[in-house]
Amino acid sequence: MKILQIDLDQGEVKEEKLAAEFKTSGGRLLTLSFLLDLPGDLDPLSSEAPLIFATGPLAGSGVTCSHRLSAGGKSPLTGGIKESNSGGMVAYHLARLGYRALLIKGANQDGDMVIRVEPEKVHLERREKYRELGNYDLLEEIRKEYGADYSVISIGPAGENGLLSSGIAITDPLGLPNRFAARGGLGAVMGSKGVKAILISAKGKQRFEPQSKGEFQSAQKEFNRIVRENPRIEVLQKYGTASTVSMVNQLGALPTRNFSQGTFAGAEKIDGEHMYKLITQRGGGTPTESCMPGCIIQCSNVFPGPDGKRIVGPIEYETLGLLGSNLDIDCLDTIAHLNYLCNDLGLDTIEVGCSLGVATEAGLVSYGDGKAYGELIEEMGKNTVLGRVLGQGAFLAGQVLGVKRVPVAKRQGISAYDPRGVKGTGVTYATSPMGADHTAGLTVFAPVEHGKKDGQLELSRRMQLVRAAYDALGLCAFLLGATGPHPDKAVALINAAYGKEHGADYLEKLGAQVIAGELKFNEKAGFTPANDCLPEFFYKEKLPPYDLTFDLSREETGSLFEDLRKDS
Amino acid sequence: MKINVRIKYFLVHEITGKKSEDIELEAGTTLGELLQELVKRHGKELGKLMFSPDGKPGNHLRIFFNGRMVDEEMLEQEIEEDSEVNIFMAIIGG
Repeated sequence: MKILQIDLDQGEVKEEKLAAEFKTSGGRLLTLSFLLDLPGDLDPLSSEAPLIFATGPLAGSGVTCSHRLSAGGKSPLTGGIKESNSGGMVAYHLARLGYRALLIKGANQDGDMVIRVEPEKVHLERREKYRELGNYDLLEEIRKEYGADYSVISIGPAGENGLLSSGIAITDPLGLPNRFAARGGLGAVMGSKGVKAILISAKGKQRFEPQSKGEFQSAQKEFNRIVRENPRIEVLQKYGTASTVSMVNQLGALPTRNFSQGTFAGAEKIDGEHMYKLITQRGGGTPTESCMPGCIIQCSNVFPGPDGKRIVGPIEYETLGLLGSNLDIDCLDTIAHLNYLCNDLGLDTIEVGCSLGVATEAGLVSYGDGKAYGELIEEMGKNTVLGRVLGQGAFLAGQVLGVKRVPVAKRQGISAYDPRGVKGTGVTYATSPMGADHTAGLTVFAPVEHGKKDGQLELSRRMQLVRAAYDALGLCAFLLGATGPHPDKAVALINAAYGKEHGADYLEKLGAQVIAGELKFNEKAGFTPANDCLPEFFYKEKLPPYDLTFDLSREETGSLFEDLRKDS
Repeated sequence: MKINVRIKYFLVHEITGKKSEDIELEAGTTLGELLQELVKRHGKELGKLMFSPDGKPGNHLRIFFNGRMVDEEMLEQEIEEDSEVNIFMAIIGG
């Protein structure tokens, strides 16, 4: 496998052989490896700051859920390390072209660069006409000009304008820009390179050749069996991640009205059952869809309006929480519309939801006013002063608007689990090198009392390590409900594919390696254990209805990764 | 003396055939006995989801008794009049 390196300052394209140490890993660990030696004061939006896309070592193999694409760089939102991964077609196509990673350095000053990766050549082209297009119109134009044989990485106007809420869109199997490496402002990093779109040819011919074909096939069969037979996966397939709403509401941890309440009266109107009912009644959408090749979970969906025409797909739990309950919106059509606007403009629905909650508390808009929220999102796309204030993320919006209740950790908006009600995930928000990010170590499915602090530090640490490992293998986190209790099965895939003899503890070691490296990066960037905490209000304000506070001390969270800090 | 308890099923209704039910129990019935009664009514498939092989509650379901997630210690707890039991498929997350 190779690394494709593109230097936009020099207009140079070169290929390098993948280092031997990354034979059995990739994703989050590989993106990190290109960032570790950079100076701590690196400006994330400068031409010196690289943007990396990496696949896992099983991409192209046909193993279910093995085509996550990691996007990595220095986050302009948090000032620390950032890896945000996504489904979609790009990881598969990169693997078929023989690439484990694509690295972009330098910048095109005109902001209209299209990078087109073909099997034999990489083209660097300028397309002024693509500037300021939303992701959906952009993809239509790309299809007209280049045809359909590409998966596409793109940004909308939000990324072009350097908004810190901007993400990077990745096309799904339908060819639509519906999947997102949304978090941490990586859209702004891509925008700072003047790159509007990256086209990855679907014509690559490289085959995945496991070292031991027989062993690999057996390991794959077993891995897929565990996933297929898990009853939780069946529910996820039918109801999508929206199936999460009701239980988080029961836990009293569903963000409601800017994280001032933990239960939402309209929860049943935005949950998985209701969404399934509307999708199947209306027609024109689907409750079950793959986001990447070979996925047998198929938790994605396409949500239609009352007229049976697609509004957006998928609507995910986080979006339901942040653009729904957090804004007191109990109408799926309204949430779908806001979701569509964010996708089109290239915005992270979590960060936008947090920011709009802050804006509501500041009196700019009233809770439940979907039309007004839509207009505010459009302001972000127009790059007006108000749009920039809100589009720079919840932290900066809170600073400008003078709001005290700002749900962030390391300046990144908190996802749809109030840390007072799901305390393990609260520990993750506080301690992850990524800032507030449920994907770094979600704990909500564990059979524990989520409102109590006992055991939450250990639980969060365990989940952060395993998720970091999965991210480094390009595996989807939704596998964990089935494969989490069987780490040996994932390791068996790697061993058979690459002729290794890793033990079942490989995942834990890999996860620790990832997080230790990320802590090292953050330390150079100025972070200390004192940053591993949550905003004051989570410690002091009681969250109704269970009157919960986040009662893990700053000392406890600050020392969670003490050993990894020493190792790094 | 009889007491009433309401059971709500979230994404489990395809097994139970209903989204909620009211059950009349003898006073002094424990939570563990109630759960076994539910398995008796709705079949072994519910039992497999509800209890891990070592008999602990949880496995693929999360059971809440009057707002609190049920653990092994709570199985001996006696049910009181108008208690509520909510049963969810253990979620994967968002």
